[in-house]
Parts: sequence; C-alpha cells; structure tokens
Amino acid sequence: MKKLTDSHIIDPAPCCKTVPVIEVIDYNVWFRDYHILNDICVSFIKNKINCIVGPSGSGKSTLIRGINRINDDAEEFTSKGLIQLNGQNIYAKELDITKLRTQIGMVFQKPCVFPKSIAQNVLFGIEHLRKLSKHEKLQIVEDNLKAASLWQEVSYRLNDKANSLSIGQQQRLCIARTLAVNPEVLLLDEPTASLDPVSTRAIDMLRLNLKKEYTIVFVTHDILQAKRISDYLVFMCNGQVLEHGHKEKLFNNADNEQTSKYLSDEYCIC
Amino acid sequence: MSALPGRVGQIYVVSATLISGVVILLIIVFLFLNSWDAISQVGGGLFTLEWHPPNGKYGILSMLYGSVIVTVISLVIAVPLGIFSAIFISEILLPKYKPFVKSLLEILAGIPSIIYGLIGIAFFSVWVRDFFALQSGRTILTAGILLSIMILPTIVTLTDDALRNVPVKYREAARGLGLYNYEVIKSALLPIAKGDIIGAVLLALGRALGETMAVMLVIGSIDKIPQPVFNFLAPGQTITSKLGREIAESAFGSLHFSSMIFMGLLLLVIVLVLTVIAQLYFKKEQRLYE
Amino acid sequence: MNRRFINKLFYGSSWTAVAVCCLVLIFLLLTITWNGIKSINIEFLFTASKNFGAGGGIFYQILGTILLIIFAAIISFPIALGMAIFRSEYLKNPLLKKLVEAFIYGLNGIPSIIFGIFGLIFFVNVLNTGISWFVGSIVLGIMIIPTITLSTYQSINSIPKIYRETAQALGFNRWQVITRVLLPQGIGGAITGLLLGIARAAGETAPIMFIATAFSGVDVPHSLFDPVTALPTHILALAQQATNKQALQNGWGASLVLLCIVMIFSISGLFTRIIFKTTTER
Repeated sequence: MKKLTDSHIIDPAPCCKTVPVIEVIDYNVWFRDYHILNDICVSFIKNKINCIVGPSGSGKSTLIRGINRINDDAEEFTSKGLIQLNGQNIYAKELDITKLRTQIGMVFQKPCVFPKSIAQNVLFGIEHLRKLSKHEKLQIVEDNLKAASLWQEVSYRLNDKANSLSIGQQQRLCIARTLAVNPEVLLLDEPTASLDPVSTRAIDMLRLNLKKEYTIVFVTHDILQAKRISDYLVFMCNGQVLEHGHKEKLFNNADNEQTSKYLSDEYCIC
Repeated sequence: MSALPGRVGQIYVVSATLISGVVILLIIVFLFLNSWDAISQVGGGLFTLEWHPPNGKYGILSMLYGSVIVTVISLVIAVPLGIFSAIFISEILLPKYKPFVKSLLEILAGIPSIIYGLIGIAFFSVWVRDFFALQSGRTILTAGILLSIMILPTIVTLTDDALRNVPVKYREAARGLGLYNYEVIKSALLPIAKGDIIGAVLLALGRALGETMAVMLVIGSIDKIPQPVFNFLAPGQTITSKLGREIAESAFGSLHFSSMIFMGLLLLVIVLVLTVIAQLYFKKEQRLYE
Repeated sequence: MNRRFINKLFYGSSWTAVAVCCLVLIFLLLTITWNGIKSINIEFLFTASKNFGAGGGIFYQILGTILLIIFAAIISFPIALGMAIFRSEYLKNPLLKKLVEAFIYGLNGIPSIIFGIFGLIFFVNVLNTGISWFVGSIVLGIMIIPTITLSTYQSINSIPKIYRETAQALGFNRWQVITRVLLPQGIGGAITGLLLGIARAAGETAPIMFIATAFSGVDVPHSLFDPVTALPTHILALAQQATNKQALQNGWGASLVLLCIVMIFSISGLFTRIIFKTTTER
C-alpha cells in the first residue's frame, strides 16, 4: 500500500496551509471488464472547492461516487485501492457505510425531492437519528434552508409539497437536506447540469459561502464554472488523472499540454 | 442507530421467500408420496382405459383424454376470438375507451368459476342439448365452450399487452411504406409480439387444464373415451373433474386414493412445465393478476 | 383491390370478435343479475339455510366467506410483501432471481384443485386438523401470495434508482431505505394486489371444499378447527340439485351475492391502482 508522498500534496497557495481531508491512492474501478479508473492518486483539500473536470466518459462521476461508496450497490462495479477520509480507509471492511455517508454528503445531478413537504424533505435525513423537539425541527429547517440560499423564497410555505418548487429551487432543497445531516464533505455530481443559468449562478454563490464550513468536491462539464468558483482543479481524461493542482496554475501554467488544451478549447484527445 | 432493525428486516424478507419455496416443495413432495402406492403397485396399469376401483382398475387415460380434448376445444374457440379482439382493442379502438374496456375485461376475469358452472348447467348444457337433440347437454363440447369463455380474458389481456409492447416506430415505418392496417399488423407487429402471444396462449392452456368447477358440472362425468373418439357430443371426464368428484369419497391411503393423487401429480407437473415454458417466451416482465 | 378486400375482411373479423366477447360478457352479467335478483331480500341474506340450501337463506355462508378471506389476507400479506421486497431490493444474483421468479409464477399457476388436495393430505390427514376453516384460510392465503407479490414488486421496482441513491447518500442503510422511501411510495401496489387477491380468494371453491367447509349443520365456528360454510361451496351444492327449482333459484341468489362481493374487491383494486398510479407519476 503506497503511502502518500510529497508528490501527491498539492502546492500550497502562498498564504494558507492546505490540509488534505480526502486522499485517493491507487484507486481502480472496473465496470464488468472495462477498466474505468486507472490508478487514481489525488487529494481533496479541506475547506476548499475542489473541482474535477474532464470530457465525457473520463470517469469523473465514477470517482466522486466512489468517495461515498454509492457505487457499492450498483451491479458489476468492482474497485480496488485506497480512499482515506481524515486518514481512515473508507473501504475497510469494518467501516459502517451509513455512518460514512453522514460524514460525506452527496448532491446528484437531477434533483430528487421526496413526495413530501419542503420542511419534511429538509428533515428527512436526520429525524430518524434522534428525537427532535418541535423547536429543534424548526431551527434545523431554517438554518439549513438559509445555508442553501432558499429560506427567503420558501419561509412562508414550508408545508407546501416539495415538487411544487422550480427545478433550481428543488436542487437547493436537496442541498439543504444534505447539509442538515451535517457532513464534513459535500460531493456534488454535476449539480447544475440540469439547471438554467440563473439557478446555476445561485448555486455557485452558495458554494462559495459553504466552503467556509465544508469541504466541497464537485464534478462539472462547465469550464467557465470551474474557473469561476473552484480553488483546486483535477483534470481527468480517459480514466486517469492527468494533472491536478491550484486553479491558477492549471489555467495559466499547466504542466501537461493536454490540460491547457482542454481548459482553453475544451478539446482533449487522450 | 442500531443495526438490529436491518437485521430483523433481512430475516423477515428471506423467510417470506423461503416459505413460498417450501410450500411448493411440500406440495410436490406430498403429492408424490401419496401417489407412490399407485405408481409402484399399479404401474403401467395407470395408463389404461378402464377406471373401475372396485375391480382394481385404475386406468386414467380417459381422464387424460378428456382434459386434453376439452382444453383443445377451448383453445380453438378462444385463441382466434381472443387474438382478434386484442388486435381490435390495441390497434382499432379509440384510446379514450381503452381503460374502460380493459377494466371490463378484468371484471370478466374475476367471475368465480363456480358461477360459470352454474350458468353452464342452467344454460349452455340446455342449449347444446336442444341444438343437437341429445339426451343430455352435459358433453365434452359444452365443457369446451364454457372453458373457452373462461380463458378468453387471459388471452385478450396478455395479447393486448404484447401488442402494446411493440414500439410505435414499427407501426409508423410500415404505414409510411403504404401498407394497409392488416398488413402492418401481420408483417410488422405480430412477428415481434409473437413470443409474448405464444406465452399468453400457453398460460391460457395451463389455466384451462387446471379448471375444475365449471368443467365438473357440465362434462357428464363418464369415465370413458367416447366412441368414436371425436364425438364431442358425448359426455366425458377430465382429471380435474374426477378429482373434484371422487377424492372426498375415496379412503385416505387406499390405492384408489393414491391413483387419484397420481392424476393430480400428473396434472401439476404438466401445468408447471407449461408455466415455465410460457415464462421463457415472455420477453419483458408481464403483469399476471390471474 | 384484393388487398383492400382482405383489409375489410380483417376489420370485419375484429369487430365480430369483439362483438361476440361483449355479447358474452353482457349475457353473463345479465343472467346472474336477472336470475339472482329474484332471490335477494332481507330474509334471504340474513337467515340460515335449510334442506341443504333448497330452503332458507345464506347468512352463514356470507359470514363464512368473509371469515375465510379476512384471514387469508392476514396470512398472505406479510409473506407476499416480504417476498416482493426481497426480490426487488436484496436479490442481485441472476440465478437466484430466476429461482424466485420460478417460485412466484409456479405458485401462481398451480391449479386450485391441487391446493385443495394438498390441503386435504397435509392438513386434514397428516396434521390431523380435521375440517377446519383456519386451514382453509391458510390454503387460500398461499394461493393469493403471487398476486400480491407481483403487484407489490411492480410498484416498488418502478421507483427510480435515484430515490434509493439519494436516501443512501443521506446515510440510510438498506432497511431504512425500504421502510422510509420505498414502502411509502410502493404501498399502492401492495394494496391493489391485496384487493385483487381477496377478490380471487372469495370466489374459489376447489381449495376449500375438501378442507374447510361442510354442507349442513354448520353455523359460526367455535374454534380454529371447526368447519365453516361458504358461498362458493354452497353454490356448488345447489348446482348439483339443479332439478329442484327452489334450489336452483337459491343458487342464483347466492351467485349474485358472491359476484357482488368479488366485484367490490376487484373494482376497489382497480380503483386503487389508478389512484396510486397518478400520484406516483407527479
């Protein structure tokens, strides 16, 4: 089992210390016989927005879905390698997966609200964990809807059905719901891909605010979005990480020629 | 958050499934055990024509013949009728009437078989008797006709499902080539739906073989193959009808009982095999409420 | 020209086929209703039968049928639900999937008389329960398990994968996903299946005629192991006395009542299927 060497730690920005909260070491994934992810070695930095970019089919979604092990139940996926959360191997046999997922939350590409009220959706992930008083419930709903920038729009109609919201609002509701579980890390798999530009903007602003408390890892197709809001970038192509590092470096001064080609032209032959 | 509810849940669902498997096994095993006497002692004698327990004759061929013939008659009537009706419902009927018609079919499928039997006695056997000027209207033909009505909803519903499963693009392509409706159906739809339709017919076959009450009341219950063989206006006997009538009268454990159980086992095996084959024909998951 | 003619012929045949089916259906329903309605009055519905049914009413038969189907429902529902959940959420191995499918469709295809005979051998003789209404309920319950399972499975299975993943991502374990997300949304299928199963169980004669019912001298059972009397078997007895006009008439009356009971459940089942379908498609 290879240990993290210095080459895996991202060049620190001049002013801040960087702490890797998730480390991926020699991670491989197969779908049936196809080798989808090939010896991935990368880290994701605490309290920063880590962005994974790359063309379709490069394995970005597979990687991010491996971090909270949501691919475990999907048939025909097998994986090998190490992913560590704060130094602990998340693929260890003794690990409680459901606990892992309360530490690493995920927001999917298509918003998926349950057929319940807005308030009930926010509380969905936590009300089974412990008994909550009415006051606590209201507080949790308010706090997380505020954190997701949705409070203003729905505070007066918390008991309305969640699917009466617009798609952009539903996606923010999904974010609020995930935040309510209080994870350390927030994974977002192309969260704004189904949304219009206005909703996309709102969620971008949201992420900039959230990074103060959470570590954010997200996958996107949209280079401009990556340029706008990310701190660290991981560029993937064909199941491999071609380059990773500080956003400025990759956009202006990439080591790998293909990286700069993709980030400027969105063109990648690999 | 203990793992106990999850554990209990897992035990629950696994046991539920196992219970079903165990039941099927029990049925087959007990039927087999109880027919063992007949198999070992009567052996090939079971496949003879004469059924007369007091004399030690346990030939089940007449019953087998009856079951097969009655089923064949019912299929001959119901399959064309059913397929054409299904084509109508699927291709010709205006879509807004469809839910209504399908519900009607489900209701028809729900009429208990004993009521069919009553109607058979009161009407069909009387009509057959009068139409053919017979002594009694309780004939193989009567049973076949009654049975055909009973399996009609099955065939219609499943064939309609089969046709609906054919994607619209095939219809459009065929029509775009200038084919008449019947040609579209014959050349484009039926070949694709063929598998499901065959499955539907096999299932209907299984149902017809297993039907007891209606057949029992109108078949006449004579344990002989009619002379000549194709005289359907004569009374006859099916396996199910025989079982229904005599099982309560035969002593448990006797050779009589055992031979009857053997008949039941035979029926069960045939029907199960038909069901399995039918499933192989169905391409996608079908709904089966019957 | 020839093609056009064949096409017309084809249309004609289809219309004819449908007309025949409709005629048959109308005939059946009309017959039962017309003949049966003559018998229906308060006295018929609420008095006991006499003379092997040739006289009197069908009160205890109605009670018997209701008793049998209630317990058949209670016995079969948990098992059917468990099986549907197991098949939908726990089974990954394709071979096992085929096996469980075989269980369901096999159980579904077994003729009702075989259930009756099995009940006779296993319960009445081997386990020595005698003629017992409870045993009848058990057998009926086993018979309707596939109906309920198939309907439940369909509705649970059609819930998109994203719901499961979302719940898992929030930290729910498998059983919690089932109880908190899938069952609330899939319960419609279970209810539909249950109603349709009960409709089927109410009308069955063969499974119960050897093991649960007796034709005379029976009213309300006093224990789990007493016989009971039920509508389908009663109709059978009356049908076998068809030459007796009064018996036949009572037979029609009983048939109408049985048909009504069956229809109530069938139609409710169809109704719930429509209701639940429209809510999940929102």
